[in-house]
Amino acid sequence: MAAVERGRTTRVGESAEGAEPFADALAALVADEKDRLRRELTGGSAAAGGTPPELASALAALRFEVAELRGRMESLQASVDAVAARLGERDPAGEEG
Amino acid sequence: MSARGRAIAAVALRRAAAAAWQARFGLRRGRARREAVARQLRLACEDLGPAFIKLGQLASVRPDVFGPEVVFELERLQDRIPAAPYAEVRAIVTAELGAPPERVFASFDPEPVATASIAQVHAATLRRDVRPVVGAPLAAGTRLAVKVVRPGAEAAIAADLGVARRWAARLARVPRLARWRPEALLGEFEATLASELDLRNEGRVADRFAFDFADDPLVVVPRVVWPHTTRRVLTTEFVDGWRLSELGDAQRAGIDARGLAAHGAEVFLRQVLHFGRFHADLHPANLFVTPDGRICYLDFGIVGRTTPGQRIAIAQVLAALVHGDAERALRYSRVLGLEVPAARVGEVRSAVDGLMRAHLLGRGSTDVRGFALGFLAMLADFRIAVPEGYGLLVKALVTVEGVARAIYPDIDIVETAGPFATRLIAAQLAQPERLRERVPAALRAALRELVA
Repeated sequence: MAAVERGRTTRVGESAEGAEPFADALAALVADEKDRLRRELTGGSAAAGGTPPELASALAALRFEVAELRGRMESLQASVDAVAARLGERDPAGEEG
Repeated sequence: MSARGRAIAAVALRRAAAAAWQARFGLRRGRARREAVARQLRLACEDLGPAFIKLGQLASVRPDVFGPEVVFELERLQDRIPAAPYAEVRAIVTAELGAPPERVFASFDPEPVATASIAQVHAATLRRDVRPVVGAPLAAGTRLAVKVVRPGAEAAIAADLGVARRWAARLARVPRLARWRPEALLGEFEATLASELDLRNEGRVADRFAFDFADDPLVVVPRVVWPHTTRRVLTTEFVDGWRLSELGDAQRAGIDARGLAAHGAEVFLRQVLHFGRFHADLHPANLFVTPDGRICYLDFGIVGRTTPGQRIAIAQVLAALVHGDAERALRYSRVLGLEVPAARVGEVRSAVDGLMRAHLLGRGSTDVRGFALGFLAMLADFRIAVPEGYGLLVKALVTVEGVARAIYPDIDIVETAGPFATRLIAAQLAQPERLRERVPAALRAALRELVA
């Protein structure tokens, strides 16, 4: 961590003045890159589905679920109508007719 | 014993005697003997009718239980079932949809376009506009395929399964056969069969498949007409095309056969490696090519599933096959449940290496089927158990090769799979959770390298 702190205070050109300043500057660079990636990654997961493509994908999935439910309802309604027709309650084909 | 029980016993004895003769009463050894037994087993299933044909078809996707010869023989099972009388079909449609077919549909063809052990399919026309779960609305007048469970199929299957259960109980008491767990296996088959007899399940899987591939213009899944679909009737749009077995040079000339075959293989890999659910019952009757050069998928009766962890391992195994890396293939097969005893790792690796050289890395086109047959036989020889999902996948890969070759005979399926598996591995490694694991280590390594 000390190397990272030293590296962060290194001014342009100083890192070329020997192995130690170079390693400090590099350590700081790597730490900054890790921080940036961490922010990006944690930000990405926290706001999952936040970008327009992700939102579009989530919307499509939701629409599919709703449509699937509608399909099940329509199928069940067909079965209900069929049993009702057998009981003589009403004639679904005639209603649609 | 019931009359049906006696009939089943008679067929079993006759086919066992034929198998014994063809195997020269045990004088023929190894593969020749196993193939003779497998052939008679298939013929016995065909003799015994729908329930046993279905059981045989289910067994054909279980290389974890049955030897490769049996599995690949049973996939040739054919339903030679005469069409059920129209009056009986009409009665089922009327009972299921509340009105006779001629009133539910604008037209309904009494002659079926296809018949199989469980159901038969009739062409019809839609009477009113319908909104499907996936895709554009279906307009009145659209041609339909109405799949109807055959009259009496459920009762006949239930009766045959009753007999099969008694046989399974007897077989379970035979020490040499007990390891097959006949009763448990039959229980699994019964559950699958029950699911297949409820045609709504097939409709749901078809919708999901259509949704998964909604962005793929080359994939067609017939849209389901839910208001005319119930447990025993599945109504979908009718898609014209050629079954793979009907695809001749003339049809191939009008489409990009090579591109379509490669795309078909990619579609399968997307199912396995991206979506985690795949059509596990592909065969030439279950898909066809449309005149405008697209692939149409039908019959989603058997679906395999893969977890995210398995998908990465499968991609790694595929990449290992492409590059001929036996050690890597076995390492990732272990993740998929394939347990090779430590003492035999060297022998098995060497055998896999030999199979890869013989079937995948030689000159000319690769032969996944030959590799899979050799691989499964080798595992059986070493008495290494094949995990269920692993076996299903191996079998499915072989089928995909067969299907791709039916479209374009010269296709090299391994060459096609290579770039896709590599892209998938790269994509998996680039996922945030994987990066989170790997980036710090990679940066540390890079730093060490730089300051050394």
